[in-house]
Amino acid sequence: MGTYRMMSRTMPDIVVCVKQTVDVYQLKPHPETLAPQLSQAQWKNSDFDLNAVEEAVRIKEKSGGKVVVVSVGPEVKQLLVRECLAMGADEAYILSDPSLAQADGAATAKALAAVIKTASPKWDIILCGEASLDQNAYQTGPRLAEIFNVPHVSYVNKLEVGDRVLKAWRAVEDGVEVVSCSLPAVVTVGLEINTPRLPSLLMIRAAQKKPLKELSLNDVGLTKDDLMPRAETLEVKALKTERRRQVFEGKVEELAEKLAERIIAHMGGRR
Amino acid sequence: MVFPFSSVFDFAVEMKEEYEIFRKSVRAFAEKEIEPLVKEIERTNTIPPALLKKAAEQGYLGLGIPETYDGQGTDMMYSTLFVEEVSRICPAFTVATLVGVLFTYPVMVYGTEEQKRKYLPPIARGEKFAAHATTEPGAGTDVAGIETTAKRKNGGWEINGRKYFISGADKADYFIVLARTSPPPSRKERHKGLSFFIVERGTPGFRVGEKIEVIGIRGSHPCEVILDNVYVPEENMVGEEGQGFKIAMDTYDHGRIGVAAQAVGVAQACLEKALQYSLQRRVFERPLIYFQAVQFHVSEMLTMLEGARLMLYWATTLANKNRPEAVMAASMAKLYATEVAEKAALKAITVHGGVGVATDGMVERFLRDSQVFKIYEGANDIQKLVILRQMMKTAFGMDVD
Ligand SMILES: Cc1cc2nc3c(=O)[nH]c(=O)nc-3n(C[C@H](O)[C@H](O)[C@H](O)COP(=O)(O)OP(=O)(O)OC[C@H]3O[C@@H](n4cnc5c(N)ncnc54)[C@H](O)[C@@H]3O)c2cc1C
Repeated sequence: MGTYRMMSRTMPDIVVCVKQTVDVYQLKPHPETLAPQLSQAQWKNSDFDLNAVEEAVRIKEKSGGKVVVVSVGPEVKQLLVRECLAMGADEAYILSDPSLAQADGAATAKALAAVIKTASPKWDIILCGEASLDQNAYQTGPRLAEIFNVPHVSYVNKLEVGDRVLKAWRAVEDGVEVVSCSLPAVVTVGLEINTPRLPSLLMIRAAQKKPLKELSLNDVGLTKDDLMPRAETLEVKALKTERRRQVFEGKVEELAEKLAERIIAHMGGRR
Repeated sequence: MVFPFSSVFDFAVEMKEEYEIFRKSVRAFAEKEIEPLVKEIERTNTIPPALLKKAAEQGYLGLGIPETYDGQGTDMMYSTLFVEEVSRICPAFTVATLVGVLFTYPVMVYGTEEQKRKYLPPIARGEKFAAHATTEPGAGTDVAGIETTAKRKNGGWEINGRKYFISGADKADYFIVLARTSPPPSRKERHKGLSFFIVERGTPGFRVGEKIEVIGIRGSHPCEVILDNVYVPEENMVGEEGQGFKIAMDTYDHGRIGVAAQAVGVAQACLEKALQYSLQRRVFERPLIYFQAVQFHVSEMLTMLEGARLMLYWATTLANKNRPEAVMAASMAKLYATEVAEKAALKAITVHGGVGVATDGMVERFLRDSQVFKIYEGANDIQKLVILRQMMKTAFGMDVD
């Protein structure tokens, strides 16, 4: 019994929330209207979320436990979820519903929480990307922590999981803040925390046999009304950047200095 | 309607989710790990060993080898997609895979259990490399014309001869070598009396000779291989005595799809580069792409490319199902795709103007690569013979050899 308890304590169950977004690297704004051309874009797993999957798998490789991937959206693509399983996650649950197309941070967190409660109620850590590749709202993680009423640590670029506690290094404005909290907790990670692995052929093939389950709103006890957004998006446009088109001439060493000064001056003199 | 095929189902291309996940991961590998080194590979004409090690870790070197021999147990589509995606960045990198198959396929199909257990696992794990030595200074297409001999001696065989254009010979640990073990019974039966042997590097009398500089696939250069009284035991013979010609032909029929995949990868690279350049490059105050002649080039490239790709996936699907038509389909895909690669490279050069012919412009290399594709694993004119003969054989059981 004692051994069992110890084991169960040191082998965390980790839930990773993964959002599927349009691949912004392939997005080209329409030359005249500047509106992003979504119909031509390809979908991918949001970058930050892949960092979260990688971190979860690394924790599992060190301490054991289980990694569960959860993805919600208007039309979650199984293939992309399989990619997370190929990276080393053990099982996945997805919730696709058209009403999630307009979901804001609140609705998304509500949907994720409902899936987690249904599919993996006994979790120790929820890992999220700190923001998503497409909307950059920085909302999902903190809102999940509120729903579950557990501690939340954001902007993490280094993470250690111990016995019922975690220690996290947070990238904040003027340095690094080291914090620790008890489990269960929600952690959001940034791009610096790790480099997501490329799944090997062996892992890709193994992923085909891992459980991937589709849930409906009904399965997780939600209705369409629960997912109504509170805010409405009126228009989305790309920023138009005007180049300064300044040319510097001279020796490279001097030019570097000159260029640096100009950039600093442009940023209001802050180094 | 579908002559020489039997029904519309013969034209299916069968894809699976796992192929796409694999393809995307290979693309990420090629762009992240190989692309930054392409200039260096072109300049030095060698592939850094560290890169091959990384590919081995990803499991890319065990493609097509069954799991029982430490391979990945994957079907042909995996190999096709791997070679295509990597060739989009660096076709030379895939030569190791292609010649690996020219060794592992005959061992897998015709070899003894001992041979399989000894040679396949280290190759699958990427610890050892293999090469295939058929061609000689005096015989390429005409395989039956080889002059290397193997004579019985002390319960084994003594091999003498010279092989030429042997890819991967500089790195290889294991060689499969074709030699004449008995004189042809008649002029009509020249292909009889040939046999394959495995020769390990380091065997006395065995030597890898001069490097042969070729214009394309820089990073992989073939070499000369010299066999001077090389003794191998009886158990090194692959397949039965005298079966060598048949094994050779079967091996090339099987491996040819790989060359089509290289060609499709290169044509894809040409299309992407040409399109990107035509969007960026401004002439007469507009991007190149606004000019109809350039639009024609790009759309023709795209059309040919997708035609070639469909043939490639189709031939691979037939091969996956072990269909006899797969041989003809593979030859058609090789013939067509390699010519598409050449045309696409020429168009890419045209669209790039001066940059297209600049040797550090990284565009002209594709034209050089395409010339090699047209020659090795059966020159394209030979593919035309294979296509016709196979068609007559499968459709009418008629031999027009
Ligand atoms: C980069 C490179 C790598 C290679 N790697 C290997 C390797 O690893 N192992 C190996 O064994 N070989 C290898 N080869 C050899 C390759 O397979 C041969 O070059 C090829 O089979 C052609 O043979 P050949 O060069 O002797 O040309 P030949 O057979 O002399 O042919 C010359 C020309 O005549 C044409 N021709 C020949 N016969 C006929 C016919 N009956 N009807 C009509 N036209 C005909 C051919 O199409 C060709 O255009 C490699 C070659 C190159 C260039």
